[in-house]
Amino acid sequence: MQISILGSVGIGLVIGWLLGSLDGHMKRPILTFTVIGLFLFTVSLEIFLFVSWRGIGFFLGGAIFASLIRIGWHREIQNRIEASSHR
Amino acid sequence: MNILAPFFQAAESTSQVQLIGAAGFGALIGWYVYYINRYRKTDVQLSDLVTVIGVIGGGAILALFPSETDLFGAYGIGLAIGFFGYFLVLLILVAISPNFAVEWFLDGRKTLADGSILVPEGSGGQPMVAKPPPSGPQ
Repeated sequence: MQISILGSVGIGLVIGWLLGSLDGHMKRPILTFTVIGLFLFTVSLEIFLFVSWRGIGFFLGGAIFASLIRIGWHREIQNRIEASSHR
Repeated sequence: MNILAPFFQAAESTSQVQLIGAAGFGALIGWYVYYINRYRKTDVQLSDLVTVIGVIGGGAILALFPSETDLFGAYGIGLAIGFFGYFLVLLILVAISPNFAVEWFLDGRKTLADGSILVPEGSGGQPMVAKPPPSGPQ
């Protein structure tokens, strides 16, 4: 079971990182967030079928963590570029 | 009472070779997913998310990894290792290169020989476009 839980975290990290790459590239936010919601629901259903309901929590936690890291890191780089260009 | 005990119940037994194989398969897929995302030319579309669903839990995965085993979990672990392994390799290459800095991850900028900064059009690396066929007699 712990391997399955870790696997759920791993899948969540990958998907979270990919979703974090959408930051700054959303032309239609409402539609995009709707699609993301459906996407996460579908993957959560698969996690539930393969692992258990506990796996869903670890999957979503990994996804949120990775997406926040990705978004924060890119914004930090953007701030560095803007700060150096204003000198 | 160990409150974490329910999280560590033994699943249906699988051999180590099977687990390593599932993890290796996941690593291969994860590496390729990062590669594809890196060279993506257009913004993320619905078809991209559908593709990711197919990769993560498509028919092949459902057929390969039974639900009552740890094989799917091993696949997920391998997926993360492959995906972030690619990212780690990029980090190392950028760190040791005198012409690239961490800003490369944002817009692909690099330092030219004369010290100026070149920011290529679009974001990230070169888009995957087919080379035009050679013209003229062959």
